Amino acid sequence: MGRSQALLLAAWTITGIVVAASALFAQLAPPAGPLFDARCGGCHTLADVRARVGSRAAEARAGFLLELLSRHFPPPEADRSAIASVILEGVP
Amino acid sequence: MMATRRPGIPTSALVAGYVALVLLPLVLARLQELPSRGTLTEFSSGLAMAGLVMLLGQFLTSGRFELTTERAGIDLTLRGHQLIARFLGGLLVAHPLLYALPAARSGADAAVRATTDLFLDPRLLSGVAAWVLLIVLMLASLLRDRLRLRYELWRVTHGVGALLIAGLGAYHAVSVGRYTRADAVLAGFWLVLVAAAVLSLLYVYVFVPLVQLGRPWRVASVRSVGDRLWEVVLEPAAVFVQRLTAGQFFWLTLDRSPFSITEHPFSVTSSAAELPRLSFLIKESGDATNRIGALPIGAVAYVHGPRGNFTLAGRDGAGICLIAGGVGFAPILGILRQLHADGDPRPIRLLVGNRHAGQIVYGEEIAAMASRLDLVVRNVVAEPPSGWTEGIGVITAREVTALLPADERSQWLYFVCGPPAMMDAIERILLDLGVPARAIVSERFRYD
Repeated sequence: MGRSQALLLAAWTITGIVVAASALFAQLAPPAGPLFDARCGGCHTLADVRARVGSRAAEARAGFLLELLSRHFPPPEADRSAIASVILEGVP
Repeated sequence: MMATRRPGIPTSALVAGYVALVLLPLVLARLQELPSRGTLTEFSSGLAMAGLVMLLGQFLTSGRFELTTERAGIDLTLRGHQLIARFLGGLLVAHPLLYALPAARSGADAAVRATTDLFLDPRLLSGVAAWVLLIVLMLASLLRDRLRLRYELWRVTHGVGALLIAGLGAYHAVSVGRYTRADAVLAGFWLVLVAAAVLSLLYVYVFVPLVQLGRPWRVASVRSVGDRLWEVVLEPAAVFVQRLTAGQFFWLTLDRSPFSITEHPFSVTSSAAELPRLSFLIKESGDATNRIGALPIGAVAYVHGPRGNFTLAGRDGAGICLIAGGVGFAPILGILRQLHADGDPRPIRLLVGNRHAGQIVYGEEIAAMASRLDLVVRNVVAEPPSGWTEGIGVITAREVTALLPADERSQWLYFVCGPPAMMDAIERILLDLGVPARAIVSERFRYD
């Protein structure tokens, strides 16, 4: 193998390692929502809820979510903000 | 005899250290045990942190630091710099888009809205600015020739732009980055890397010129040696010891202040035996080099170096084959002069490719060297004059094999310097002939 090919292979390998490590980094993150799972996971996935919340204007998301949580099979008030945080933190 | 291992930190150790440094923020972030925000979002964060380290690492692979150029050589260092820039650019450009991607589950409108919100969010302004600047900087580098950007302008904008991107990126991480804003260790990590980037620029643009001011050189002679080819000889105005290994190059500033950012890298054509004088072969090829012939004798010059590992040091071979294309002949001539000064007994073969015979230089001197060296020279030109008896066209496998002993060529050492297309072709030829890659020492004078 020539130097050019070796260099290209090295660059691809480094990038591959970075991408793989980032994927592993994502997989190793502790699960976000034991609380969410307990209260909402029977009917919703975290990703779906985040996508729905993300479709709203950024400034309206927190208010919308807290209002929703207060009306929709409402969890105890103390848990609502924690669940909202878990959802909002993953919203783009 | 074979090419031998060179002293110093092995390249593999440098690469392993680099990868470890790139992945360190991911480890530091994961140790915080923050809950997942979704796989894509976490993945995007990982890419951004690793990409930012790679970006900051680019300041140390700009070809100005011995740590990389002495070991890997300027050729590998700069080509690695360019390749890594393309890959890290991809990682960082993908970062915000991956954040917005989950919204695509709710349809294209939601995805567009999420992306727009992301880019218009005032808290993310530093990140967005870095993202846009990164794309501009990469396009400017990739399209430099097509845009006809002057080298000096490109160099200044490249350095300043990269520093802006690094600063804005690090600020983005510290201000809104989930893993950095609440973690002093990770924040400190970015601070150290940004400081190293700033120091690297200060070293190149302030410290080195300041040192150079106290060590001026002057132009001793300038003479035309071929078509648009000039020999420039420099001598030190103040006496000091200058080390040199034939085949290395210097960053030169000619007839300007050392702070003028007009310096270019040029290979030395003289051997250590000719110190303290330094000779250079310079081709008129745009920018400042077009005025090289008008350089006044006695003009001030500043040198930074020597740099590079396109040298015989630490390498061995049963014979030495030198292959040059165009002005890539400059470092080859330096090596040849060193071999001549040393009276090296090994067989030496010199193969030089040019467009026309007017670009063949130092013919008489090289012919005279053959009386002391086991030297065979072969010139190849694309546009031969009438009566031309040597090679015609470009350097081919036939030209190479005709010069080398078939039974020993895998044990020789090969030095190749020229334009990219020629370098790639010669490398393929040599590998096909069974020459081990480690026996091929190459340096291109242009990076595409």
